[in-house]
This record gives sequence, C-alpha cells and structure tokens, in this order.
Amino acid sequence: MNNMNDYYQPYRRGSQSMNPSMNQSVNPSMNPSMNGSMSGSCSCSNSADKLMDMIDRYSFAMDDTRLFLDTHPDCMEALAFFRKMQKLREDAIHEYEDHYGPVTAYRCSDASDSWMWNAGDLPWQIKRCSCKEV
Amino acid sequence: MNYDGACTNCSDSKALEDFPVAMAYVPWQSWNGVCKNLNAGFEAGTIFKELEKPLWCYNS
Repeated sequence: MNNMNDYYQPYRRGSQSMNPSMNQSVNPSMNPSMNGSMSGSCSCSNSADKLMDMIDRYSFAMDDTRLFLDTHPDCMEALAFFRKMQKLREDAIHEYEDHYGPVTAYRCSDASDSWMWNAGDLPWQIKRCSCKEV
Repeated sequence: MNYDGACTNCSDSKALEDFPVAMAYVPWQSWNGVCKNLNAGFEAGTIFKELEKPLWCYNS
C-alpha cells in the first residue's frame, strides 16, 4: 500500500530531476487523508496532477465546512477543522508553486521575481493520471 | 481537538411538541465529525456522512 509520499517527487525547473524516481521523501502533510493513510497504489509519477487534486480536495473540505459554520459560527470543532484544512491547503499550494509555478495569477508575484504565470505546462499539456487515486 | 466527536454546543433543545403545527422543520445539523477520507467526501459531494444522500435509479 502506497501513500502520497511514495509517488510525490518534487522537482524544480531546470534541475535534472524532471523524471523523478519513486520512494523519496516528501512533505508528510501532503496527504488528503487526515489520518495520514491512503488506500490503493499508483504507479504514475505526475506530481503536478496529484498535487492539484489534493488542493481541490482540501478546498472542497473548506467549502463544505464553511457552509456548516455559516449556521454554527460558535462551533469550535468545525472552526478547528476549517483551520486544519486551511493549513493543509496552503501547504499544498506552496508545494505546487515551488515546483510547478503559480496556481492562480493573483499569486504570481509571490513565487518569483519574474512573471511566472505563462511559464510551465499549459493545462491541456499536463498528462492526466487516470488511476483516480490521490 | 477531536474533529470526529459530536459537538456538545449545537443540538436541538426544543421539544417537537413545542413547535407550531402545519409548519415544516429541518432538524438542526450538529457536528458529528467528517469523512476520514477526503477523497470519499469529494466524490460524494459532502464531507458530512449524515448529508450523503445518494439517489438510486432503477430501470424497470
């Protein structure tokens, strides 16, 4: 059984690790499962795809919790969960931007001294993983 | 902080017989934890298990 740590391999533009090998260390917080476990296994190595899926899932968890908080503003359990997802999402975005470029144009100036929005693969050039495991 | 535990601060406290008749009410949702697997919540459309109401269609 693999987890995100097994197939997430960071690489930086210009480095020689663009086709990373498996089983290298990664940020342990980059796991969409809250208890750190993950089911299934995936042999694909498209880290950008995986990271974006994780960002989507953390974003959705925040959206759903926000709806709950709208009617339960004093629920500390919900607020704590929202903040936890917020931190995980920010970590995932930073991880993505460190290796693949800005997630949104609004964050472009944060990642580099130069304009990075049009750098890297375009959405239709990213090889999508069909295993549906994140 | 236990994310999976039930919330003690938010629950229906009013007895059903105290509500006016001929009105519809929706039970107040309380924090009972969320899906442990965010993938499952994402696929189901909600991270709250009690709100997951899959619709089944049958062909006759």
